[in-house]
Amino acid sequence: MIRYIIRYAWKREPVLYLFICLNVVFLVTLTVSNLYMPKLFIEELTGEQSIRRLIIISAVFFIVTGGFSYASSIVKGKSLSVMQKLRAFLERDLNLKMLTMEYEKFDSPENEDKLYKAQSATSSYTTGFQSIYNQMFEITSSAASIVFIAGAMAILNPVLLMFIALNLAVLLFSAYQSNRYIAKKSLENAHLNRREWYLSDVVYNFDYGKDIRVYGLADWLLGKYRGVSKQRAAVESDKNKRLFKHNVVDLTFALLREGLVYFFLIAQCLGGKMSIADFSFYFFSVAAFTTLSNSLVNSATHTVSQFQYVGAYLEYMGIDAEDGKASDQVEPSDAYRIEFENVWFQYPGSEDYVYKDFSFRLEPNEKLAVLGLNGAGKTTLVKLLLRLYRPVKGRILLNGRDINTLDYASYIRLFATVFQDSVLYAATLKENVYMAHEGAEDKALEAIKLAGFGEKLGAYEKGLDTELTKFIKSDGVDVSGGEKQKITLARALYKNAPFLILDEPTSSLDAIAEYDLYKNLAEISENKTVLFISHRLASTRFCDRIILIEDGGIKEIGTHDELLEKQGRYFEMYTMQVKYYREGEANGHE
Amino acid sequence: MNKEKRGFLYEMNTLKTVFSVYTSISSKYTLAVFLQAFLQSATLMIYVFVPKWMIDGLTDAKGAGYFVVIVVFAISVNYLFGLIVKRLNCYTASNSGYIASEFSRKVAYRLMNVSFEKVEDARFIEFKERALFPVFNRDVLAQLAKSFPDLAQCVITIIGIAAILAAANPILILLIIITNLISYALNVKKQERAVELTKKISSMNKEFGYFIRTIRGKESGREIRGYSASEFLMSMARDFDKRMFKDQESNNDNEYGFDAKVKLINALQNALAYGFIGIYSIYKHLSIGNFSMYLSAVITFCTTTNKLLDLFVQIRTNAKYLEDFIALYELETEEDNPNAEALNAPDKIEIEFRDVYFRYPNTKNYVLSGVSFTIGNKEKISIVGRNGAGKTTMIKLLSRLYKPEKGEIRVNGKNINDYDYASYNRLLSVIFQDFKVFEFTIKENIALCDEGSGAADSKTLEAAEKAGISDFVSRLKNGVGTSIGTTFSEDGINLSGGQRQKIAIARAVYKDSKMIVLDEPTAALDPVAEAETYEKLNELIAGRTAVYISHRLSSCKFCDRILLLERGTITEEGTHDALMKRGGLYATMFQLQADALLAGKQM
Repeated sequence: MIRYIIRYAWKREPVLYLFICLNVVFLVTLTVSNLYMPKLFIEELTGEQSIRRLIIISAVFFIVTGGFSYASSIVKGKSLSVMQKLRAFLERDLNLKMLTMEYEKFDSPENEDKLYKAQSATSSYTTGFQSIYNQMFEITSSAASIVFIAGAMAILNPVLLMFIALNLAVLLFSAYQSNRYIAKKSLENAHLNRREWYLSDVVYNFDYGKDIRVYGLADWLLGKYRGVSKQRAAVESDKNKRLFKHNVVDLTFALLREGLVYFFLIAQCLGGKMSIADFSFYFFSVAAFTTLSNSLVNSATHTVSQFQYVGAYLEYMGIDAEDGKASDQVEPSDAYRIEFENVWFQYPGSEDYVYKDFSFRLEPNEKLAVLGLNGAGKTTLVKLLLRLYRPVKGRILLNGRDINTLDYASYIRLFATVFQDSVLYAATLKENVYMAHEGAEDKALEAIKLAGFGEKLGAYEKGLDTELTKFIKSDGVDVSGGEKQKITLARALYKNAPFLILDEPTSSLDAIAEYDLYKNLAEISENKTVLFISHRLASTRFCDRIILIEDGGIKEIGTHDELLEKQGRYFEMYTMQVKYYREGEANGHE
Repeated sequence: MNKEKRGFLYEMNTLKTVFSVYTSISSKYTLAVFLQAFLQSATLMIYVFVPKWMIDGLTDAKGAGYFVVIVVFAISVNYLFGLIVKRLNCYTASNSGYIASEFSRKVAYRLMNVSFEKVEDARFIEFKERALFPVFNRDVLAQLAKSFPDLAQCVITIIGIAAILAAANPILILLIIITNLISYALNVKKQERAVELTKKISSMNKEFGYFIRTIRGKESGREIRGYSASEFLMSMARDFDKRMFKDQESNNDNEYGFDAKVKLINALQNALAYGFIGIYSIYKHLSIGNFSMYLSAVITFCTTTNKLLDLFVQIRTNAKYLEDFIALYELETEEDNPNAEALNAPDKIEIEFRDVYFRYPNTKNYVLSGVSFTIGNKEKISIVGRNGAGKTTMIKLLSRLYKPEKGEIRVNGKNINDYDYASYNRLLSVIFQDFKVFEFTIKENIALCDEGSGAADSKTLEAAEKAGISDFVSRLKNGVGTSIGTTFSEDGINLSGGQRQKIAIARAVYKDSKMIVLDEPTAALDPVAEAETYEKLNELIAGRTAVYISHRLSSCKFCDRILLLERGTITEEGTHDALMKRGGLYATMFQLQADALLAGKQM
């Protein structure tokens, strides 16, 4: 892990190490000068008392300390920029991983937990990678200064050095123990952080505003928030009490150390073996030693406490890396046929199977309606087709080839999907249609018109260059649910793929807009295989075939008329919806 | 000059507010924090004298007993004071997070009670985000709180040391003060630049937050893979990073460039201190002990005054960052009309919209321009219209989230704004289209604030039954105690869209109010669930007044009357049959939906 951290910086921004070395040189020199100054002065004051020499010493002192501390600040500033860059690079690597890893792995709850921890490694300046790089400065400079002081002590008396080394060892050990405890406690209580975070979102996020007012929930929610904050404070208290025990050890050893060293120095001085000037030098060195060793111990323990996040980061980055990437390209063809062959599927972590021994063929250019009750697995069908998930057993074939053996990019090029919960990105309208920065404007315009958004487009001043959403540009536009559906349909039409998948495309549309879509469906689906998923039975009237999914498989399959004749589930659903639209039917309930 | 002064007063006000809120939340905390500062100061002061005592003893060759007393005294003070300080720190560190969160809860309370039009106002939302960012992402509140004791410590130390130095030559003190003022002036300039840069950075951070949410969202994950668009997003991220790096570098250079100059000044101060005191000692024939003492005193004085000025600037900067947050704290919340009447369990509810005009704040076009209608007691009304016609707006007005610009809304003959808010709310159960389900237990989601009452369990089960979700709940291991999502429990479950809708319905049922309003209650449900829900709803609303909004015109057949909202007014009103006979927009829309279902391909 340490190797990874060091190597990463070396590869991306090796100048960091130059800065670290410079920092060591500067800080050690400063420490040393500050210790020598009183000694030099006292020597002069107890000696010749030459004012000229005092002035010279002061001037040199100013030049050295002034120059070096100035330089060290500049270096610190430059190195901070470098460290911020490193953090950003590491975070980008993580984001890229999330975008390109297998969706199934991305979605799994255990990987989500790993992600949560991995994020801590790159999300802030004071934790994770950046803080470790930062501590490298502290650790190296403190350690170097300590070595110098220890050296000075050793020259005086090697026993002194051993004593100090022992002291330091005990401090490090005690700090290590308490930090392990604290890290363990933090891990056990990570869920409290998430809960507090969730509750603070609920009370601050205006999305909850209506419900909070209309149901009078303010006090209730704040009470819950307060409760979790109290739990966290209790955990903090626990950790701090443990830390206090370490502090007691710390102070006790400082007591011993300082007491013994002071007595030793005084004895030396009284015995004539040490001048007063040297005495002051060693006296201040002891004080400096205490400060430096505390700083070193703090830096070291803080660094160690960050390793858990770095470890989680590396673990997350390692997911999926071993799997051989399927690399066979899809063979181009005029007619693509899909076949589900005895497919079994369940979501990771779930006990129920969504599909059990599911077999089915989708013919080229077919318009298929996929029906089913909520939770039956209609959207799951799409996810399996798009290789967001893999079947647990069985295969899905494209023109006879198992889709999981095909190169993903060439496979996905065949599918254009309008998802149920699609997203509009903070980019221009045309970029949202291209799903890229560049594309063919005239084709995008065509797609937009075909999707029924042409009229609205005319009302936009900037036309295709209108920024969507207000996330990044405050002059962007927020569109309604129905408008969003039209734009995402345009996106799919622009892609112009042989397979068009529409997942509940009319849920936000009113009667007239819905009707318009059905009217255009023939034009939209020319020369394509269309999968129309909806529980609005009107959609089935426009399709060649209907499959009704229930209990993990196809319950009924056929044309509209065939299914009505069967008088099964489809017939039931159809009659139920149609009942209210037929004239002369009984008027609801009274 | 004037702007600076006003800024200064503002910052002092912020400081005062933060301090008083912290103390009001926990005076023990404030006390502990100041005691800590005092003891740390005292330790520092004592160590100004310790080297002098030791050196005096050495030059005067005092006996062992003398040294034992000095050394024991010095290290015991360190030890004892150190212990107390650490113990106090144990307490303050454990509680500072809680106190900060308590402060932010006070602000949250304001936000939850502020007038609703702010909640949907893009500018206010931006203001809120800006105000919260420094508190939640940069910990500014905690930092500001920490500066009080630091400030106290500096002041106490300076006073103490000034007393010692009073005996020494005033020229030295003057020199020190002059150099300090120079660094202060530099600091102020640096901060002005820093605040500018930080504003830029915080808007960049908003962008950045957007990327994170988008990249990490499940929905985007599917779509990005479906459209091979990972490069699209990453290139946006790279562009962003480039801009961010530039700003950060400017910020850092500014910050540390200043820092470097200050360190230069410090080095000058130290060198001057040495030189001056050294020469002074020679002239005044000071003992080495006294030389050490003055030296320690002067150096401590320099570091402490520098620290004080630094702190002062930091405090002012943090106070500036907190300005918006404090403004939120001081927000006025909506107060009830002082003459408000309570509406206690009326027997009947009659609603009247009288020529209501409404447009959203900062917009030109009226959404409602002269809407008038009545709803009689226990009537079931359906409101239909095209998307964007204003149906949900009418509900928001009825719920008193907004007030009409012209015209009135009356309940039982009285303007709804003349009723006290709490009792008025009890009249209505509203399920909005974008209702929220909390990641609490099912019972908490249904009973809401009533969850702690004795009857909550049975009432919850009853409500679940009426909403059609009791079968599902009874199959769960923890029943109504099952958590939704995994935030509060490892065994939490995920709900489908339809199940969520049923929870929302159960919530409305539980509230048991005389009037129920449903905005697209079956949008996410499949036909079977939809039919079931309509049946249940009909049971539910029997005996109550009900308002439905729905695209599925089939639901209108359940209603006594239908209101068609078109271009800001009610253009058609009547029973389903009457409107069909009339052959207007309603009839057209209904026919289209029916045709699609019945005729299909033949169109």
